[in-house]
Amino acid sequence: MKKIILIFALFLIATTVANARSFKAVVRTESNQANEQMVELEDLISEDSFDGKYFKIVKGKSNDAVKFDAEADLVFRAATSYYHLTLARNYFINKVKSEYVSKIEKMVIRIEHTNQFSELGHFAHDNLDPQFNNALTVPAGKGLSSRGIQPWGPEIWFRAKKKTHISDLNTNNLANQEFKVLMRGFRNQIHMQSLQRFLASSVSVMVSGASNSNPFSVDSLIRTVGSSLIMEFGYQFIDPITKATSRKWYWLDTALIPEIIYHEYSHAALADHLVLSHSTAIIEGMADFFAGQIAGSPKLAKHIKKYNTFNGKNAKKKQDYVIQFEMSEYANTDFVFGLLWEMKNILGEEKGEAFMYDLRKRLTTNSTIRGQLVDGLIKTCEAVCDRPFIDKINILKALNLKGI
Amino acid sequence: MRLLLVSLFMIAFTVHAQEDTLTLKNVREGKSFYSKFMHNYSVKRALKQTTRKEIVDIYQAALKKQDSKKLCAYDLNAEISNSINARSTEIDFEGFIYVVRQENEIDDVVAKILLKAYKVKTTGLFNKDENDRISPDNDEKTQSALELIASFDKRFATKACFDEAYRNYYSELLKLDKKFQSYQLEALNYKAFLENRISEQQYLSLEQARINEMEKTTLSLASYQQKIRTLRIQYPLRDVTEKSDFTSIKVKKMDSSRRQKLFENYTDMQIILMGNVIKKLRARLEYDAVEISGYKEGVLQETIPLEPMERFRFAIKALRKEMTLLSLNTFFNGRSPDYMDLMVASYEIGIIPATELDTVASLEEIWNLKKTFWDKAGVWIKVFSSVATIVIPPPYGFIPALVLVVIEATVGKKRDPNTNDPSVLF
Repeated sequence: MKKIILIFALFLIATTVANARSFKAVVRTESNQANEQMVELEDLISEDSFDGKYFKIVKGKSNDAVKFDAEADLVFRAATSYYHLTLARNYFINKVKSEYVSKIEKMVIRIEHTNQFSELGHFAHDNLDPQFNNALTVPAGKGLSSRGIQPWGPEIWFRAKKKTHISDLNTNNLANQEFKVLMRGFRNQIHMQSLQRFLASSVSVMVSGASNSNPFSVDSLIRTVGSSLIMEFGYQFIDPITKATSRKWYWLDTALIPEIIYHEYSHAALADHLVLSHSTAIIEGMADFFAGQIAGSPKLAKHIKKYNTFNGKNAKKKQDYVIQFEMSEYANTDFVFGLLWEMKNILGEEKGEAFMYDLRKRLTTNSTIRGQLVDGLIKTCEAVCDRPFIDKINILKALNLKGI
Repeated sequence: MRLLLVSLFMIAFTVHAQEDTLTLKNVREGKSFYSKFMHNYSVKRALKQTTRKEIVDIYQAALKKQDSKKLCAYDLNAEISNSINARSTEIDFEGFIYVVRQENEIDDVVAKILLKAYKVKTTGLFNKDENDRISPDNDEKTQSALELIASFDKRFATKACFDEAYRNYYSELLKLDKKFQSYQLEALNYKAFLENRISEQQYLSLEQARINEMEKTTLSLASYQQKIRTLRIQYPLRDVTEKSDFTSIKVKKMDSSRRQKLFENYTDMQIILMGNVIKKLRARLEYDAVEISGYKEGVLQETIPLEPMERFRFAIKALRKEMTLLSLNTFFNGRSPDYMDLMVASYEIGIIPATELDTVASLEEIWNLKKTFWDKAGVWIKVFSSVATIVIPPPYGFIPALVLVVIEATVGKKRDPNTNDPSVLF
C-alpha cells in the first residue's frame, strides 16, 4: 500500500514539474512599468519545449516548439508570450465566461516571424516584403493539398524587431501639426503686438509730442522689428528643429509587450463574430478594449502611442470626430478604444465588461462606427443594461459629445 | 338594473368622499426644499415645547375644520394659531410648519403658502413721522380709490380668502390708475384710516398686504388645490409612493424650488401641455428607426433612413421646435417655459418617473452647454492680455501674447458647424 502511495506521489510531483516551469518574462509592475521577473508557465505538456495544452510557441515558419535550451533571447520572448497568452485565455474563460474561447483549438504562436500572411499558402514568399515591428492574428486556413500546404488553425504572429529610421515611416504627424498651428498663432500674435505697439507710440508722439518713447528712433525700431524677426525665424525653422530634436529610430518588440499579446489574443477570442479577414477600426478597437481590460489599465493606447505610426492621438483626449476616422488612414483603433472605454465608465466596471462582450454579437468586421457600432451599443444596452432607458441616454449623450 | 344603481351609488359615494377628504399631503416631493434653509433652531424650538405627534395632531385638527371648497391659508393659519395659543406654552409657528412638512403632511408648495400668509399677518408697521408722509391729491381719482379701500371688507373679503380678495381689490385699483405706486397706496390707506373709512385692523391688514406685495403672489391654497385636483383626475398617479428630490432643487435667482415655481407660474392646462412635450420626446428617444420620405405629386420618390445618432439629434431638435411652439400657443400668452419647467411638469403628471428625471434633464447640456470656470475666466484673461500686449514693455511683451494664444487654443474652443460635421442630416 505504501509503495502505491509513494508511486502516486512521485507521479503527481513529476506531472506538476512537467506542467509548470519557471522562466524569466516581461511583467508589468503596479505602476505599469515593464519588469523582468520569474514567472510560472501553466499547462505545458512538453518537458523540454514551449508546447502547452493551449499554445505552442514556434520560431518563424517552424512547426517545432521553441526548446527551453534555445538561445536566451528566443526563450525570453517565448516565455513572455506564453505567460501572457495564458493570462488572456484565463480572463476570457473565467471572467467573461466565453464558451467560444474554451473551445478554441490549440493555437500556434509564431515569434520572430517575418513572412506575410497568405490566405491560400499560409506564408507568403520569404522575399515578399518581410514584416517587422508588428503582430497579427491570422484566421484558420484549409491549406492547399496540391501544393503540400497543410491546413492550419488560428495563429498569432509576433514579428521580429527592426530599427527603422522615422523618415522611412509614413506618418501623418498630427502632433507636430497641432504644435505648428499653436506656433502660427503665437507668431501672428507677436507680429500684431509689434504693429500695435508701433502704432500706439506713433499716435502718442503725434498727439502729445512726447519724445521719451519715439517709435521712429533706431533703438525702438530695432526692438520692435527685432522681436518680430526672431519670432519669424523660429517659426520658419520649426520643422528642421523638431526633426533634429525628436526621436529618429523606431522599433517594436511585440512578443515582449503584454498589451500587444493581450490585443492579439483578444482578436482570436472575438473571432466568433469579428472574423479575422482584415483590420478595421472596430475590430482593432474591440481588441484594444479587452487588452485594456486584461491589463487592468486604460494606459494601453498611451503606451502604444509612443510607437504608433498612425498619429499621435491619445485615446483619453476628447477630440473632434471627423468622418475620415472611419475610412482613410485616420481610421485607427484608439478612437474606438477611447469610445468603448468611456462607455464602460458610463455602465460601470462589471457591467461594462459583459456589455462589450455582448456587443460583439451585433458587430461584424465591416461594421462602421457611426452605423453598426452605435446601433450595436444601443441594442446591447436594451438587452443587457439594468436601466436601459437611462443608460441609453447616457451613451447617446457621450457619443454626441464625442462628435459622432 | 340593481347592479347599475349600486354602481352609480358607489361612483357618487366615491366622488363625494373624494371631495370631502381634505388632504394636502406631500406625494411627489422627496427631500424638502426647506431642508437646506430650514432654520434648525425654529424646528428645535418648536420641538422643545411639544412633540412631532402633537404638532401633526394640531395641524390635522385645524385642517379638518377647513371648508374643502373654500380653502384659505389665512383661515388655516388662524385655526392653527388658535390651537397653539390655547396651550399653556407657545409653539414657534415657522418651526411648526417645518415639522409638518418634515412629516409629509404638506409639501413645499403648501409650506410656502402658509409661511407667506404667516409672514403677511405678522408684518409690523413702522411708525412713520407725519412730516415724512405724502398726502395724496384731493382729486376725483383719490376719492374713487378711497371708496374702493373702504369697500375692501364688504366687497372683496367677505366671500374670498384674504390673498384672493386682495388681488381682486388690487386689480380694481389698477383700473383707476395703471401706474399706481406702492407709496401712493400707502398714502391712500393712511388717509382712509384717518378719515375713519376703515378700522385700525383693516388698515393694518391692507398695509401688511401692500408691504408684502401680495398683488404679485399668484398662488393661493385654493388655486393650488384646484390645480392638483385637475392634474390627478387627468393623470392619476401610477406610483403614489414615488418621490423625487429633483423637484426640490432651488431655481437660480428665485426663492423657490422647481416645483414651487411650476405651480406659481403655470396653470393646470399649461402643465399638461408641457408634460406632453416631454412625453413625445421620450417616445422619440425610443424609436428604432426614423426615415425621411420625399414625395412628388403624391408618389414616394425616396426614403432616407436616419443613423442612430441622427435619430437622437432629431429627437432633440423636435423637442426644441416644440418648446418654441409651446411659447407661441395661445394658452401660454407668450410665456416661454424652460426645459426644467417641462421636466417638472412631466414628473408631476407621471410621464417621467423620478429615476429618469436627472438623466432626461441632463439632455439640456446638448444645446445649452455648461460654461466651466476656465471658459468664464478665459474671457477676462483674454481682455487683460490684449491690453497687456501693449502696456507691458519688451522683452516681457511675449508673455501676454503667449497667454492669448494658449487661451485661443484651449479654452472655449468652438467647433465650426460647417467643417468636419459628420452628421448627414441632423
